[in-house]
Amino acid sequence: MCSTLAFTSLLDKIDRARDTFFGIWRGRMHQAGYVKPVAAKPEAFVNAFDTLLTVLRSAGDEQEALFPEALLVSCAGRHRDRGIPVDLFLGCFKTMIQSLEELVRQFGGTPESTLLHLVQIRQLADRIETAVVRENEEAAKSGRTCRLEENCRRLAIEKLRYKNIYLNTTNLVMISDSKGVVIEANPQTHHVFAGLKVEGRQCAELLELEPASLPAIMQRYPLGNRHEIDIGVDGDHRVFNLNVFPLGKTADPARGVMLVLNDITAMVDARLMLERQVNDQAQAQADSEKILGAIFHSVGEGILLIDEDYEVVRANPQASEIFGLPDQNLNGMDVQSLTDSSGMKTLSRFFQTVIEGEHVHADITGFYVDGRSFPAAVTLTRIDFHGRTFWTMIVRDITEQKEFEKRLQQEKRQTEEINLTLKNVLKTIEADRREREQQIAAKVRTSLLPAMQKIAQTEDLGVRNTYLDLIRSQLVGLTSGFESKLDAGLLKLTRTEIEICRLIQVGLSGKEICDAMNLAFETIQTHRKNIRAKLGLKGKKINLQAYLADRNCEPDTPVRHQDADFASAGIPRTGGIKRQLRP
Amino acid sequence: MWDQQYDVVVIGSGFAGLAAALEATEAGASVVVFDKMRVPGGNSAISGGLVAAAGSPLQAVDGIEDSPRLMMQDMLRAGLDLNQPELVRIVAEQSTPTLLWTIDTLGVKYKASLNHLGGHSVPRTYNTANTSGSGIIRPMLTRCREKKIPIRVKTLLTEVVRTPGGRVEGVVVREGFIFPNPESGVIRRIRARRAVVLASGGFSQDKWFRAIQNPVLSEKVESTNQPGATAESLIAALKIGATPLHLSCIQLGPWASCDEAGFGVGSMFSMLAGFPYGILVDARTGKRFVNELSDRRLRVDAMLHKNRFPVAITDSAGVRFASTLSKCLKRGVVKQFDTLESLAETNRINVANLLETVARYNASVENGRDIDFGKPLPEDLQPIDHPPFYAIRLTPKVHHCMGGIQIDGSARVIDIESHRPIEGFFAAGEIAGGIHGASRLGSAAIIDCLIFGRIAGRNAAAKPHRG
Repeated sequence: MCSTLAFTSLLDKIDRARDTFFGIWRGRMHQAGYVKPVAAKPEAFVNAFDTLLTVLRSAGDEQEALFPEALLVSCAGRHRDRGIPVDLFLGCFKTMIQSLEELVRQFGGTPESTLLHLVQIRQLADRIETAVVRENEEAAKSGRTCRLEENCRRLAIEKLRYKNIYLNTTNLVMISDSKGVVIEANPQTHHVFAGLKVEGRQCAELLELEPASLPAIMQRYPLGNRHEIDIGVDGDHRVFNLNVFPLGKTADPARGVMLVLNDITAMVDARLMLERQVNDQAQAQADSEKILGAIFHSVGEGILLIDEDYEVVRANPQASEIFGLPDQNLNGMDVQSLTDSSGMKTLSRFFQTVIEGEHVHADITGFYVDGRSFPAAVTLTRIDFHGRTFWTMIVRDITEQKEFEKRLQQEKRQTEEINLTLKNVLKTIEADRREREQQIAAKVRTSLLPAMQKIAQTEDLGVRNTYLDLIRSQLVGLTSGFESKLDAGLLKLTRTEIEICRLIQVGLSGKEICDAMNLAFETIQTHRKNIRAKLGLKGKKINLQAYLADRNCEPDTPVRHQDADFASAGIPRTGGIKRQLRP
Repeated sequence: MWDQQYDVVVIGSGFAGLAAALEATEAGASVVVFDKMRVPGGNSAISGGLVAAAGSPLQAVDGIEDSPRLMMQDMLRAGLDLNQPELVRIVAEQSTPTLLWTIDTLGVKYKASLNHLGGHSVPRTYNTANTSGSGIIRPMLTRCREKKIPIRVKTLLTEVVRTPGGRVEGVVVREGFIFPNPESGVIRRIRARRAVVLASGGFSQDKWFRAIQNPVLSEKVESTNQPGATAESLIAALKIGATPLHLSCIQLGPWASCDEAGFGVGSMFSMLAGFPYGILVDARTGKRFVNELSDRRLRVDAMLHKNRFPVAITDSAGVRFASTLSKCLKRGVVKQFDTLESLAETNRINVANLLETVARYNASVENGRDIDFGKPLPEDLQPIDHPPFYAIRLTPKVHHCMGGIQIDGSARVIDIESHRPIEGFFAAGEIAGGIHGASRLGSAAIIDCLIFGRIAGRNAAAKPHRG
């Protein structure tokens, strides 16, 4: 009783010294590392202290003394629910008790009474601790049981779920033991291997797998990859995707494995079909590209593909050869550097005006790599492609063609010149002849005919003789003066031969004489031979043209050859002139 | 016995062949040039037009200290000292005089700035104004036309005729040859009264022959070369006793695009922008893996290692010298992006890794020292942060044959038995081996071709006239 009274007064004393107590307790809490001095909330300390005091007081109360710890036990429970573990709670509680003991020692009562109080406090603390720990144990135990039951229930549900999957899946599921012997298989497996024994067989043999042992199978078909295996069942080939799962926690198949196969036959078939189609198409495309490429490479003309920047983007080998530039240099080259300014002007006009489908041509100047220029014929077409414009330019080096054209023109000009000369020659001859005919006609008309008229009209012999003399002298006059000038040799020549002589003298070749006189070459040669014979040149090394050069057969000389000589004498001798005189 | 005769017969119409023809003509010889393809110029016409010269006028302008000695050291280092030092010395010493010859005599136009190519200690590389070897080949062809030197294309060398006495008398060719049909054309025997100059190039496109030398270079490996770069004239030279050397030293180019065939337009983009002013990353990791300006062999080895997917990345500041950019963009060889993120996404590069790589590289640029791979940073280099950004996907392609037949300093071909020059037989250009050893430095080929082409032409014309 006395002790109870004394204890109550001690508690009052403690209550009064609560500030000292907080000082001690706070220090100890900090020492133990439970709180940081600043972070700790003062209310928490006050609450705890009040609770402890209440418990200690009630311990002195006879009625409530049976369970003075209940309050703290429930407090520990609350803390536990808030996530504070029981050991932390008890740790804090212990520092509180120790602080209390220190305070009591500081009160400085008699050693006996102090010891008594300390024992009382310690006993109470031990009771509370024990109660808290017991309660905690019980709480933990009941929690575990609940969880176990819950797990069991969940497992049962999951097992059922997996059982359903196992039974109804269209995949083949097999369980094998550590030796690779199938110990269980789902209905789908039995369905696929209709009529065949599955359980008890080696899974490698059943699935026609190459590696025989389980570890080898797991190494050959690692998890996470796709493994297609081909299985023949009843002559029907099916393709499965194989997955091998170890049943243990490690990859080691010591506890057996689960083999899952899903049927991907339809997918594989579709894929093969698609692959074949793609292959066929690719092959066809490659073939056509090869043919196009071969054309592009082998055509005799240079082909340049030009883009919107007027840069070459592709060129064939012939284009390389024409410009003397390797493919690498031609690609990316500005078209401008391949031609001169007027060529570029032409091309620019084409680039702006040509429409798709149209072909435009021009002859421009091209440049070879060493700076030599050459005539080039270009054909330009336009291609619109993916919203961009390209031009193909077909190029031909026409140096040879141009040279040929030039030669042809030269020959034509020469021929024309010869024609003109011949025409002039003939014209002069003609004019010459006309003039002489007129001279003769005039002489006949003015002198001979009147004289003859007089002879016819008169009987007088003297007069007749006079006129006869006149006619004679006229005739002599007509023919006089030519023998002396005329080359004796030339007189022996026929008209045709004289003509030929004249042409030789002018400097025409045998062939040109043929053309001019419309005679065969052999004929001309025969005439030539005869001329040489008549002129006494046979066997002599004298060139006919040289011989004739200083002789009189110039077309404008009146006295030149037989016919002309006779004509100038007013005595027509050859048929041609006679015919003209007497039409 | 002979259908035609000339003083000097030149096989091949690239840099070396035309240089030889021009020099021999200058020396008063009658010359003919044969080329089996339908266009003249061979690989030279499609090359990038990069010419290395030590102690050049542009170097003087930029205040770059260089010397033939330094160039020789660079060539020997890249060549792993397999090079014939005498030939390297001639190339290094003659580089600037020969460059000046192209400018003064041929009228070749070059860009006003130098390039710093991988493996060279200093910037010493000129580039033709049109970024192509055609910028040199065209003036050479024009000059040949002016000098009335016949260049007969579609004419294949089938045999070098050497008498039992040991001198080369002429060649047998197929006139009207249509590449690659070996039956095409008509056989003609051409007498060379003074000498034959073999300048027929390398065999990078000869899949059969190169796979014998290096089985890694199967037919699957692409080449930057024109299709006519095959081995038959090399074989013809070997048949008459020329000495082979370094035939297995075959160089791959690290800068060619996998999105176009051959050398294309992308190679020069990588050389002028991607490598000097950008970074090379593996698309699978988003990280750099090599010094972008190291020797070609090192870069190719690094690219082939671990099946990397190399992508060169640069920005708008980095492309200011990339004269093929517009063509690259037009053909889709180089792609342009507003952000590094979209660049990474399109090229399937991990964005975070790429951003980190670029940031790290930019820090190197700021510090003036590449902390990861020791790339020599150009002085005008800026960090990669000027959008738009550019990317080119790369793949190594067979580019150059360092090996060939042995020549001496006078370009005379050396007999395999007597070790003495074969009378009346010269070689120059890629078919001549031993100049570049294990690996050729970029821009060292054109200058080599021009130098030994001219030497061969001069010496061929100086041979005693026979008949």
